[in-house]
Amino acid sequence: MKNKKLVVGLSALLVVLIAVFSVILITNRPETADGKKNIDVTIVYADKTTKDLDIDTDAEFLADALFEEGIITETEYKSGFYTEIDGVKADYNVDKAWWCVTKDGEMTMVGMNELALASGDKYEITYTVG
Amino acid sequence: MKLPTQSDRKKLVTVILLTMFGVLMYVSQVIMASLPNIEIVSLLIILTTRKFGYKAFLTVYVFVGLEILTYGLSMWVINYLYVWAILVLAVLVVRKVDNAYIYALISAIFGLLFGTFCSVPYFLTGGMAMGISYIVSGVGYDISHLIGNAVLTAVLYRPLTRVMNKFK
Repeated sequence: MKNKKLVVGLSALLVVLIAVFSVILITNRPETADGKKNIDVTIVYADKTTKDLDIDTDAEFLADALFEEGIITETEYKSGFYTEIDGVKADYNVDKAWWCVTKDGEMTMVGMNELALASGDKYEITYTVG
Repeated sequence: MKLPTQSDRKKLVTVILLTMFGVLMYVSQVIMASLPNIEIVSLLIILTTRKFGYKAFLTVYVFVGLEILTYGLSMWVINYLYVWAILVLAVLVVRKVDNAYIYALISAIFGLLFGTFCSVPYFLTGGMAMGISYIVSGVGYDISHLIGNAVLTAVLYRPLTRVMNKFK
């Protein structure tokens, strides 16, 4: 009897959690656009110097476009977790450094592999400490 | 010199077994590393906690120690310092229950919440946006973790419990 209550309680908790996560997944599903797009990407390095990229691409996601341009490595492109941009490594374990991705000045809510592109998008990838 | 008693020998065997299960967790993690969030570490923690109670923390930290020695102190290893302990605590609450479905449900819930548990350092270091971003980007992995944990625990709990019961 006690076990039955436990099974019911845990099942109910699991159903609620699945519902919450499904909503998160659906509401955050990126809408991709087909065809050629033009995007601007600015890389801001640790010494505040910058590199501007004007990219024409058919890629659907930011990571696809950056991989085509050779800005990110294949290993990190596959994993979706980025520590190295344009050959510059941000090692959080050494000095709490990481690459911050912003779109129109706002920090993005998803990783670069899920950032759907649209023509005219302006991204900034900044070497950030702390 | 005082000779070891039966109780001393039993304690030693327990420590050796707990350490061995930690090594087993590590080996299973390495072997299954290429599978996206499909692991049997959760099931082994459930079985070890049921068998040894709070002493399972030793097993968990043997496993975590071996992970740190292998992969270094990266962010996800830092997550391991507390995330597996959450599962031990959850199993301790229902330790006396011997029901594959209950542990499959606990394992499934743990798998689904794994990314959320791991997001804590990202909330602390990068703020709300970074933490939420981490959870959102990992939902797909969490769902595969849920399914893998539920299936593996439901299927393997009973036969592995029989094996565990052979250890006195």
